[in-house]
Formats: sequence, structure tokens, C-alpha cells
Amino acid sequence: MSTYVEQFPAEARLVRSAMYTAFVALGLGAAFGLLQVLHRTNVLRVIDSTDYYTILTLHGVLLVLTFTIFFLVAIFTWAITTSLDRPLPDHRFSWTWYGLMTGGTVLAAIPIVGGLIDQIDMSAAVLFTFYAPLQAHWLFYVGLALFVVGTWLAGVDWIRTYLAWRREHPDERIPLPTFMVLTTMGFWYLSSVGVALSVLVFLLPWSLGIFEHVNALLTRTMFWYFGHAVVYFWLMPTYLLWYLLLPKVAGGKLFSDPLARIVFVLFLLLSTPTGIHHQYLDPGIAEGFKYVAMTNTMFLLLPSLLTAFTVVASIEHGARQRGGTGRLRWLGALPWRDPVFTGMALAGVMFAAAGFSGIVNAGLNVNYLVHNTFWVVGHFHLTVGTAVALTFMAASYWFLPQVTGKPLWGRPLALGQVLLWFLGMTFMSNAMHRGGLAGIPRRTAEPQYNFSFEPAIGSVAELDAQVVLGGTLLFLSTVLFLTVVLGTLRGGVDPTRIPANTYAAALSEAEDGPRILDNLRLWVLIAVVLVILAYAFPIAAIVDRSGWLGPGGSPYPQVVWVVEYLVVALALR
Amino acid sequence: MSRIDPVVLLVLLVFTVPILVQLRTVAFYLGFEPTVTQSIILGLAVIVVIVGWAYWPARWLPSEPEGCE
Repeated sequence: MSTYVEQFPAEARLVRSAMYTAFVALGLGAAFGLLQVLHRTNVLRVIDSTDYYTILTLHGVLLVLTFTIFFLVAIFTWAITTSLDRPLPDHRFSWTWYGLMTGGTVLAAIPIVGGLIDQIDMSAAVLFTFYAPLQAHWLFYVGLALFVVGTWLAGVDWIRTYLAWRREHPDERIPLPTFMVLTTMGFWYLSSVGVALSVLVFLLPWSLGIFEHVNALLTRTMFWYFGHAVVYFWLMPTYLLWYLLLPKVAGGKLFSDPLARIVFVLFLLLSTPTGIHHQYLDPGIAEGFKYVAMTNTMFLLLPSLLTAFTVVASIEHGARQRGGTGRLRWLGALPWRDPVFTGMALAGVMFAAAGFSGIVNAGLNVNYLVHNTFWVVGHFHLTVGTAVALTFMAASYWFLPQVTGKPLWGRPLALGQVLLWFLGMTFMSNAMHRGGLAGIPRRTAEPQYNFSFEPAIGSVAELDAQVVLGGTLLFLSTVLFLTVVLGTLRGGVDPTRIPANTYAAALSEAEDGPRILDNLRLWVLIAVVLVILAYAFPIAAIVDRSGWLGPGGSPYPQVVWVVEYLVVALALR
Repeated sequence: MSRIDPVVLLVLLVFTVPILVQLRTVAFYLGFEPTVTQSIILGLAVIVVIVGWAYWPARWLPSEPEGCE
């Protein structure tokens, strides 16, 4: 038994590079997050309010695209090579996709940062949700396109590795980590086509001046076609770690391999035909289509609840293997001193809370209360900001030694880091949710304007204080994380002090489930059909009403309608 | 000597924080309206109780047999 870097030295280099890129993005993104927190709450204003969108764009793009996706390609590369016990087929090809992703990130970042410098005539303050009518410099769209193509080629790399393995093992069940990677890539290809088309066919030509205007609702719908599935692109590697690493560090086994496969198949089927639930308040989409999206979204609770059951059962098995007894006393037998375990377990707890607020977001009628409010920001800081980010940071404490051969430095500091993140997010997300219920808007540097929000409990000042406290703790936690990473990298190589590169075995093996679960072609085909059912009619209706490039000269007809309604209403008075 | 591992105690205390934060919401709905200061004092009191429980000598617990590590 040996470490990953001893087994696959070339792949370890690639995984290391992807992780380091992710960590740089995390550090920068967290710093921009702190700037926003202090600015919005009027505690400290070091940026101009007109630059708020640029800072917000940097925060969003660096954290939810760069940090998460670079980290997940590292995890997936590890999962494929470890579970198939074979290297990637062509290292030049592997470095090509890594280069495309890195180059794309840099190209996209140039116009965003350019927006902060008066002497540079470029800007991309379009936020992570980069649909029209907000327009970015064309370099931003080119960068995004290269980044997405990079992830596609990474998928090709993993599929080639799998197919080479399959030729030598025609009758074997797909190893679970590989199965998870392949199903995730299945819906990633399916969903990212939407944003690729939106960027290449509409937004890029529009930013170059080839089109005078675009159909804003169409690009918005195409963005959300991808925009919700990308959430699962972040979550699936998180689930992978909860299924494969968490039971292992807890000292036990995965409760059920077939159940894990069912969960990933359900996400392949359901993660894409749900995006319209982000558009409940869009006037150009009929309510019936929104109802379909809501139904699909609610179905997604099933794999999430299955995961909650499986992961908790696996952890309990681990605790009992370690001597834990009783109905709840076994919790005390878990390895809470291990930051890998504690971080991932606390991330799971936060994700449960996120599930509840997600149900509110997903409900067609209840959503009206919280749409575009601070509530939504609180929700996704629990999902991607904690379930995903905290799991990735905690898992880094296991992966860094694996891919460098250097033991983890500062274990108590690492434990403090994950606890600090949990504390910070408790305060920040709670205040964001409560602020949203009071109607405080998201995406604004000046939430107060001249409007007095009245929270049901406490005051806005109290909520602001919680946001500042939470945001500061989160930033400190990020600094601690990067300190542990740098401390580890400065240490000496000593593979004898590092656990072997393995993942959790299963109590119920793959053979206990039906072979049809491994029929990926069938599941992808059903996923395609579901997407067509969910999206063909809404998109046809949008195009039929306003054309591919939008009506007349205005890319933003909703504004016109709203003004017309107001005029009529005033006239009737 | 503590009743539970000090690190487990630390995790327990951290885990108590969101419960305390949400208890404030529950208190409002039950008709109590604690101020921020009162909430902080109550939270600190709960934490002191938990720490006290963890470190208070547990007379009713069986003592470890001699020679046991």
C-alpha cells in the first residue's frame, strides 16, 4: 500500500496543479467576499459602490467556477486513476485541458479586473450569472468558452481511461468512483451545451458588435439550463467524497454501493430539467412550464435524502467499529480530532439546513417571497459555500499529503479552521436568510437606499452585525486554510507517515444491485429525453414570441411592458 | 479530567452555536423577546453549563479499575 504520488507520480503532478490553482482562486475570492460584506453593511468602504458589481463578479467567478471546478477536476482525476488502477492515457492531452481551463480563467479575469482600472477600456461586471442584458467585454466570453471546453476535454480524458479499462475487464462492474465521475460528466456535457451555445452563438457576437441586440430571456433561460446543473457539478464531487472518503476516515465502510449508484443516476436524470425554477418571476415563461420545473426540482430531494441516510449510516458503522455504542453515544466515538472528518461532517450538517431553505426556493408560490432577496445568498452560501467549499477544504487535508508525499502540517490549526468556517457560516447565512425574509435585496452595494426594512425578529443593524461577524470569521478561516496548505508544502517528504491511497469499501457491494445501473447509455438517453420535454416548449415559445435575437431594438422588453402597465394603472386611477 | 474528550467538547460547543442562534428565533415566536445582549448572556450561560457538565466530577460514573490505562 502506498500514497497516490508513489502510485501515479505524473497524475499527482496534474492533481497538485489543479488544486493549487483552486486554492489561489479561493484566497482571492474570499478576500473579495470580505470586501463586499464590509461594504454592504457600511462598516468599511474601501471600494467605490460603482465597482461593487465588479468585485461581486470576481467573488462569484473565482469561487463558484474557478475554485470549485479546478478542485473537482483534481478529485475526478484521482478517482478515475485510483479506482481503475491505471494512469491517464496521454499526459500531453491532460495538460492541454488543464492549460485550456487555466488560460480561459486568465482571459475571463482580465476584463473583470480591467473594470477596476480607469485607464483600461474593458469591463465584465456581469456577475457569475452572465446573461443579457448585462454585457461583458468579448474576452470574458472567450475565456469562459475555453474554460468550459477544457472541462469537456477533461471528461474525454477520463472516459478514454475508462474505455481502456473496460476493454481489459469486459464483465466487471464499473468501480464506484469511476461510476460517479462518468454519471456526473454525463449531465455536465448535457447541461453545459446550453451555456456554450448561449456564449458562442449570442453573447460573444453581441459583445463584438455583430448583433445589435439579443433575446435577453432566451440567453437567461439558456444560462439557467446550465446554471442549476452546475450546482450539481459542484455537489457531485462533494457527494463522492462523502461516500468514499468520509466513511473511510470514520473507520467504517460505505453502507451501500447500489444505493450510491441510484443516487448518482437520479442526479444524472434530474439535475438539468430544473433550471426554470430560477425563473419563476420571469414574465416570458408560462406558469405551466414553471410548474414542471418545480416538480422536477422537488424530485431532487429524493437522492439528497438517500444520501443523508447512506452517509449517516456509513458514519455510524464507522463509529461502532471504533467501539461506539448506544443510540447517540456512538457520535462521541467518531474521530472528531481529524479535520478531514470534522470538516466534512459539519459540511453535511450545514447542507441539511440548505436543503430546507432550498425547498422554499423551489416552491413556485413560496419563492415569490424570497426571490432575488438576501435569502437566496444565504441559501447558496450553505450549499456551495459550505457543503462544497468546506468539504473540499477538509478533503484537502487528506489529499495534499497524498499528492505531495508530505504529511499534513498544523493538524490542530486545520481542525480550528473547519470549526471556524462552521461558526462563521452560522452567523452569516442565518442573517442573510432572515434579511431576505424582510425583503432586503441581493446583488446591491446599497441595500438600505432610503427604505426601512423591518425584520420579524431583531433589527437590520443586528443582522448586519451577524453578517460582518460571519464574513470576517470565514475570511480568517480561509487564511488559516491557506496557512496549513503552505505549511504542508514547506515540509519534508515522508510517505511513511501518510495513510495509503484507498477509499471506503462497501458493506453492500456493487454485485448486490442490478447490472442495469451501470448502463450509462440508457441513463444518458433518458436524461436527454427529460431535457427535451422540459425545455423544448418553453424555448420554442420564447423564440416564437420574440425571435432568436429579441424583438425590435430592445433586448429588454420586460421593462417596456412594466412601464406600459404602470402607465395604464396610473391612467385608471 | 473531563467527562468527554476535550476536542469532542469543542466540537459540541461549536455545534451549540447555531442551535442558540435559532433558539432566539423560536423565543420570539413563543412570545419572549430577548435583546441581543440577553441572548448573548443566555448563550454564554448554556456554554458554561456544557463546559461545567464536561468537567464536573461525575460521582455516579464507575471509577476506572486500577491498572487500566
